[in-house]
Amino acid sequence: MRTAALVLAALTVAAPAVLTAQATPGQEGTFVIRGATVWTGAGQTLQNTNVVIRDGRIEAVGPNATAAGAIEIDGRGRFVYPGMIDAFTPLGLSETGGISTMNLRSEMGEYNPHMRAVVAINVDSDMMAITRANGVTTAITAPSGGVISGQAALVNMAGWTWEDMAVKQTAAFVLNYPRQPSFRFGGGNPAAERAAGERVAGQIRELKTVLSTARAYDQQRAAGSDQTDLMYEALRPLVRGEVPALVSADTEDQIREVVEFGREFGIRVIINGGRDAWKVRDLLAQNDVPVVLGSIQSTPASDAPYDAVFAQPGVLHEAGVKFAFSTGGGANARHVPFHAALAVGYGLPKEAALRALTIWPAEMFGAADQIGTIEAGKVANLFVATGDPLDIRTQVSELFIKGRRVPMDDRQTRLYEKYNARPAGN
Amino acid sequence: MMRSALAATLVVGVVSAVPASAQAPPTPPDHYALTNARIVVAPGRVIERGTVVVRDGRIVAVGERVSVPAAAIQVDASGHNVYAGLIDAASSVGLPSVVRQGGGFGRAADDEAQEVMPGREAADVWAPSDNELAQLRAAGVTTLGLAFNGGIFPGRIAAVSTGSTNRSPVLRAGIAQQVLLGRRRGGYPGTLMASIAYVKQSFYDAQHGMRARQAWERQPSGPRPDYSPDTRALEPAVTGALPVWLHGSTERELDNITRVASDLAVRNFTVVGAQEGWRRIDLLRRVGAPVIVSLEFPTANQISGRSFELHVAPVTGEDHAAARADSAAVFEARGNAGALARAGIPIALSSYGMNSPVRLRAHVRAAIDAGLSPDDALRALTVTPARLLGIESVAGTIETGKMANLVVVRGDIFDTDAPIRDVFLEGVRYQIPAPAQQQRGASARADAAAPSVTGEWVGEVDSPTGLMQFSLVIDGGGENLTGRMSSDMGSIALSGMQSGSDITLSGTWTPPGGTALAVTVTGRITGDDLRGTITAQGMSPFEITARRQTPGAAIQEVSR
Amino acid sequence: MIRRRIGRAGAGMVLTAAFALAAPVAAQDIAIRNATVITIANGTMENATVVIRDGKIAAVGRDVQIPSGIRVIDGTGRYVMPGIIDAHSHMAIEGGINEGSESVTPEVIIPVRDDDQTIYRALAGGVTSALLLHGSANTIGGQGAVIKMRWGQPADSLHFEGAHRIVKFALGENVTRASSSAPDSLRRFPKSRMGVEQTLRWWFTQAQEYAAEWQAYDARRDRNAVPPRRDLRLEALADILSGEIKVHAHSYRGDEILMLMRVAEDFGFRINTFQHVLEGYKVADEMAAHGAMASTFADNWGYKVEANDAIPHNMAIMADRGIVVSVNSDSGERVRRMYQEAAIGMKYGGMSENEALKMITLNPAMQLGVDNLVGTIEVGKQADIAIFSAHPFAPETHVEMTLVDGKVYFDRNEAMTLRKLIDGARSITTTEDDR
Repeated sequence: MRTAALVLAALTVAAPAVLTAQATPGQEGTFVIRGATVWTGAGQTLQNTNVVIRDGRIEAVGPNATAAGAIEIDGRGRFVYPGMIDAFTPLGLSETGGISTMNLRSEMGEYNPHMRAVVAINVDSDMMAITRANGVTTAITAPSGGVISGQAALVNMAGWTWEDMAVKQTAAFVLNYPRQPSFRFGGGNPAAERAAGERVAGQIRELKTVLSTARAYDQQRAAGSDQTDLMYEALRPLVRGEVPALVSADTEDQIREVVEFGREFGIRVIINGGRDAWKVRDLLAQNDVPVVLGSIQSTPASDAPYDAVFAQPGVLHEAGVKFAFSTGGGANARHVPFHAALAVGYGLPKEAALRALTIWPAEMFGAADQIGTIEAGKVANLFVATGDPLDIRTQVSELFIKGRRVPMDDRQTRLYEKYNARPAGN
Repeated sequence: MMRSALAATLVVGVVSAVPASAQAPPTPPDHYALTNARIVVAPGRVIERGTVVVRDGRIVAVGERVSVPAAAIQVDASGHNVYAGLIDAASSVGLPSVVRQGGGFGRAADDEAQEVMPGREAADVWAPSDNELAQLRAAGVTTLGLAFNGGIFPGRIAAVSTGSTNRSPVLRAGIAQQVLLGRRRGGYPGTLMASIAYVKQSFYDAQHGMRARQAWERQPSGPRPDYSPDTRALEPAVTGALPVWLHGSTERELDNITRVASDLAVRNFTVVGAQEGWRRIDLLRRVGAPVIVSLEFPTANQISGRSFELHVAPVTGEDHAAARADSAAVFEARGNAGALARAGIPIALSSYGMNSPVRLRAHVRAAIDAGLSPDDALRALTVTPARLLGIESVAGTIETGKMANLVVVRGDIFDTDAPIRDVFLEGVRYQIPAPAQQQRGASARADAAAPSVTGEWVGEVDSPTGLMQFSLVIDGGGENLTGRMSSDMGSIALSGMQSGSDITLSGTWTPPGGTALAVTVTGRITGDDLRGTITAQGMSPFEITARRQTPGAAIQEVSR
Repeated sequence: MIRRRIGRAGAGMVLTAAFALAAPVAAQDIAIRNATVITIANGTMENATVVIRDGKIAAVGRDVQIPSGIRVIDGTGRYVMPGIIDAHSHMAIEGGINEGSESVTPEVIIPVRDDDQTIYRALAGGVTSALLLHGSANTIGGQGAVIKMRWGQPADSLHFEGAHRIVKFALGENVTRASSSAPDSLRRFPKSRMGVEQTLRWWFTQAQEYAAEWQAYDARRDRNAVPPRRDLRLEALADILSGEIKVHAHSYRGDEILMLMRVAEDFGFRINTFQHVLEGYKVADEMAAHGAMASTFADNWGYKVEANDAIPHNMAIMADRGIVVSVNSDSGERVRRMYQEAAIGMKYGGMSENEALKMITLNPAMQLGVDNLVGTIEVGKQADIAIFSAHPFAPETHVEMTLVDGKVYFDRNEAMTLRKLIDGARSITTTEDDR
């Protein structure tokens, strides 16, 4: 008897949420979050403030802001933040590990600037639902492989179609700058080192040839040529400096080389990885080159200080280098604020950490006019939480993506509800 | 052993029956007298001017006033040293390689497994090329202990001669059972932990097999035991009748192998490898086993404990300090044999694990430069290995009745520039061809191009407590540098070597009331300027700079 | 030649650090005063003092007298908690972690190495002990080792005296994987979860017979009888049957967890701890009834098919159903920030703070058989202690100091940090520019 009652109770609680989740990517409408503390990301933390959301946008932010007929959300004692951004992931392209058909992220060949990640995003990826539940509303979804992997997209973690989800269909070109394999402590094979060096030099020459050709192609097209080539056509926004390149570089030499490469070709470069960026922080600051930091949840090189990875964001910040955080992973992209928390533990001011999770990546990828702060007119990507999102103990209670109130359940909460309701002794 | 004259007859007979081969073996020995020689009878026992008489492969007389028999071929050895032939205590030259290609977890190896062949005699599968033998002789090596280069129970040790006659080169077989904590490619044991278990299980099986057989022999009505050749072959090692050679090079390999020995109550054993023996002196003393030291020197990065330094080491794009710390570490590794010998541990030296075993002499030289006394070196290449191989009654010293295995050198045997003129192997004379001397010329020229480093250098150490003045007096050159460093902290006697413009000097410094620390100075000379580092044991290096004070000290420098 | 900048710059600092390292960690009595002390056993005390004598905790509380002549560490603003214990690690293992050549190899024992940098980095994350486990390539792997992070001491002295003897079992995808990719000659049974069960049953049947054979021999007391062949593998299995060796079983799915418990029950032994146990929440009542504990990932999921149903609420559900739950690293990376992993217990499923902290202290201590020695801050326990700059779950926290046996093995003030390296470099650059 008692058991049956429990099951019933569990079902009635769980069922509506399940239905909502499967039915829509979020409730449409006009919303007012009332009486919350709002970290705007634009330099202010507003107490007792209302946020009005209408037609997918933030309509107003202020102590008296309101909208007639709006759905009311009690924000007293709660905190509102702009949706967080993971600046490098395979989300939507990769699912369960170990199964090749669920991880189709790279195309054949070395030069694929025309490959667009955005068109291959699985709208119903469990990973995206789980990611957004922690306040991560948006991510860079990147292809991989080759020298130029393709075009990374900046996408929201909910939407009806990939077009609906995309903030920027082409947010950056993913470029794996050819790098010398590492020979540490004089591995002792000069011939092999030389051969590898020559191979890499050849690859770099090839990359530069491709880009020079792309520049020439762009000029011809601008001058009226109607000959088209899909690959070079795709590269036009890159060589025109309209779309940045996310270029992998970790060591001091690699980063210097990549900065120089950007200057040579007039390309807006974002360093991707940047393990040793602290060594060239002045160069990066002077040239206004930002960094998408590789996972903070990674170990430093064996001869580096034990806290090198944790402490680097603080050091870069002091030097005036802009950066964003990235998990590089799909399943736990929800951890991106906890990556930032590690940096805070080792010297990065909290305010900077929050910016590096919101407005800085939005700026890097040309989306600062749309997302990254809580300001009137911007897309309503934001969340309501019980506290500081860097604190793991904080709970996210409400989530808005493009002004839709996104349900907070996912595959994991559904399994939780099912088994948590299992009657004892059954 | 067969009398040589008879052997000679037999050999001649055989040779004449065989079609002319590419190289006829040298005429077997008859009768020689080496006169006017400086005879190093044994380590520390020298006859300044004397004669060695050799007949029928044996030494028949040694002394200052030995008369030269009329029948003997007289070999004038004036200006030369005569040493007992060197014994490389553990060599894999001419043995099939146990370390195989391919394999690994889940993959088949390319060829047949050889890791477990406990009954295999190295003597039975030894097939060196004539060239290998000639090179060994040219390096003064007359005798080898044969040891397989890997596996778990790869076989048994033999002692062989490096001669090229048609006599059997085998002096003794079945000397010891080789035991290594090796892995089997593509099968069990595939890890160190399994290898430990496997070795133990194999010993238990041998023990059990023996008991079961004895029981059956006593009482044939009982269960008849299974016969397994491998298990049977291990029995003498298990009972202690056959010595065991246990292999271990790094400090933890030494820990592991000695623990296995203790678990299995193996007492009659010799440790082979011990490249990091200096890091486990106490352990080696405690187990009381002799040690056959590999003269393959580990690189700085291979030495255990490296990571204890890394986490405090500064990191920069161009870190010369790291490189210098490396050279100090390498110097320490080269001092291994010396450290063991000074600790009173009986050592033999070997080429075991060396890529190029014929360079043994150069490696011995490096060990001497790093602190091994020449007498200890000689003992470790003659008397001690002879004992470990069970051939001490016929080899290891220049004494009447022993095999006539002699090396005639113009100079010190461990001076790599000193040419070896003759090697006698069981009385057979091998004249060592000239190329060695050409090399010497080249190396002499190289030395001439190197700047002189002698003189008094005054400079400062960039220490954490501020700049500290020091004076460094250096004498000598090439592989024989000595020096003394003086400062407010005291004075340290140093020794080391010069390679081109680079110097490395080491010594020991005892801080007031403290324990002794190994100190290494490395540096590069440019004219009268010295830049380098000083490293105290366990610490990261400090930079030093100095300038040569003694006027005219640099005049020896030869211009190109 | 270019004058090296940072190497020289760092010299002073490096020397300090090197001294700290080279000098044997001195046994010295210590008092940590005026700290917030998270005892785990008796709540959290503010403005409290912990006195350590002879490597053990001698006093804890607000009104504790600090003996004179003792080293005093100021704990103002700091949080003191029991040293973190990692119940699943593969650090500091010599010569391979997977004897994957055969399906059952409990006779192999992990050899410990002392020079794995992960030990130091773990210390820098407040970790003081870890269970080093065999890998998961085979159904019954090897025996592990429980170590303390006595960085700088020889390998032999890392062993945690008094800890359980532990063997690793593994179920599911990993143990069946070797069969599918290997060449024919090296394929080994099993290649399905069904085969895993039968592998277990076959070997334990052998072990029972082996034990019986020895029992019979011992009972005969016949000096002339040949003793049975000693078989290290069956001997280890027999020790598992008798409970002498505790089982830690790598597991994912609910079905296989249940299967293993039933097999163990049939043979009369218990599974001490399920490792990973990502679907433990599906069979939590059965695990509780069996008496098994659980050591899991906080929220790893999706990295293979059997990890698809992993949920971060797993810890909370299992704890709620009466299971002793720990959260582990299984990684040289996560071991440096296990406090973050534990905090996830509070985020999903509503664990209390103390329950969450227990998952990296007392609970793993129970799983390793050392809960009477460490895992809480209580008088008489070994002084394995981590000192944090802020609450261990706060985002701004980091580890200031880690003590093992009452000795300071990690001190951030003396460690080479990125900032010290940079500051050193800066000061030297200035000197050179001045010149």
